[in-house]
Amino acid sequence: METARSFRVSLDTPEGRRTIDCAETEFIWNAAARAGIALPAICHQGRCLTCAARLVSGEIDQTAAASYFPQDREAGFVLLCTARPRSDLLLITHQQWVMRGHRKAAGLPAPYA
Amino acid sequence: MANQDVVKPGDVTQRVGVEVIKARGVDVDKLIKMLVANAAAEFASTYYYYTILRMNLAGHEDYKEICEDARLEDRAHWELIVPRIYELGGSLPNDLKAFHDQAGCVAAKLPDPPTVVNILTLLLESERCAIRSWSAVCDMTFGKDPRTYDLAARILNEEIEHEAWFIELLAHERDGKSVPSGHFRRGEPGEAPYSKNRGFYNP
Repeated sequence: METARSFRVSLDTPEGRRTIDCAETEFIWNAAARAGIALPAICHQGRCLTCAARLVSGEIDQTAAASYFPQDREAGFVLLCTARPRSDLLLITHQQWVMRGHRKAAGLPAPYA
Repeated sequence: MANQDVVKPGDVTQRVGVEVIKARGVDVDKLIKMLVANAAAEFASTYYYYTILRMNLAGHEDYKEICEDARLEDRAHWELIVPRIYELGGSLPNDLKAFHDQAGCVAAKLPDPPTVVNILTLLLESERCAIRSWSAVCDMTFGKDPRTYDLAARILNEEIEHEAWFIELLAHERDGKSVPSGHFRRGEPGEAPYSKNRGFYNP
């Protein structure tokens, strides 16, 4: 049986930087929760934007998100509840209101905005 | 406790019912946005799309009826929460697409292929999103805004029951396992005992 690759994921949170291991098959939000890091989230569907983060460096697979647009990727936003790592990552968490502002400016769905 | 604006006698530009919850720490603008997002999820993401899901449960009349209960109860949730949005000083978008786009949960669109297992899985995950969304409202209002908390808790009661129903049905249909919900069928379709303030089953 092949073992899933794992990556180092650094999360810049309001409480400071935390670094965790996350398998390529696991959602980053779940890995953070397993490590005792409480990140915001509501829908866990990649829809509501509550878990939004900014990708500073690295590659992410966001195909599990219900609503994710090319403009989101171009602007550097990711949805941690449905994001899987494809490399080591540096992320800034707690970006829900910034991402909602981006969505509104782009004329895209912005739940809770 | 934050400063509370004292509403002057006869002033119809402010509401004591809003000022008192602001004074207790509720971000009313944020709460209104959450209620609109949840109302959109109830009406647009589930009630509307559950209509289509129910139509496609052919040959599973028992599942159809349970889907109908969830569908009509989600409509009851929409009806229950909309007046509170206006009472707090908010409003609904005057455009159905804009309203749909506010929904905090994914639209429960007919899966491809529309097998009974795929439909039950979708129903289950839709209810789970609703539980998370209403729990967030309960967390925000607990001990501060008893009226919104009461409405949200009534809805949450029913969403938790819906999740239990679809766990039971999916476990049976997909896995051949018994995972009882512990509930009996509603007395009539969409009875909504909590959100319509009716007696709930407790013999």
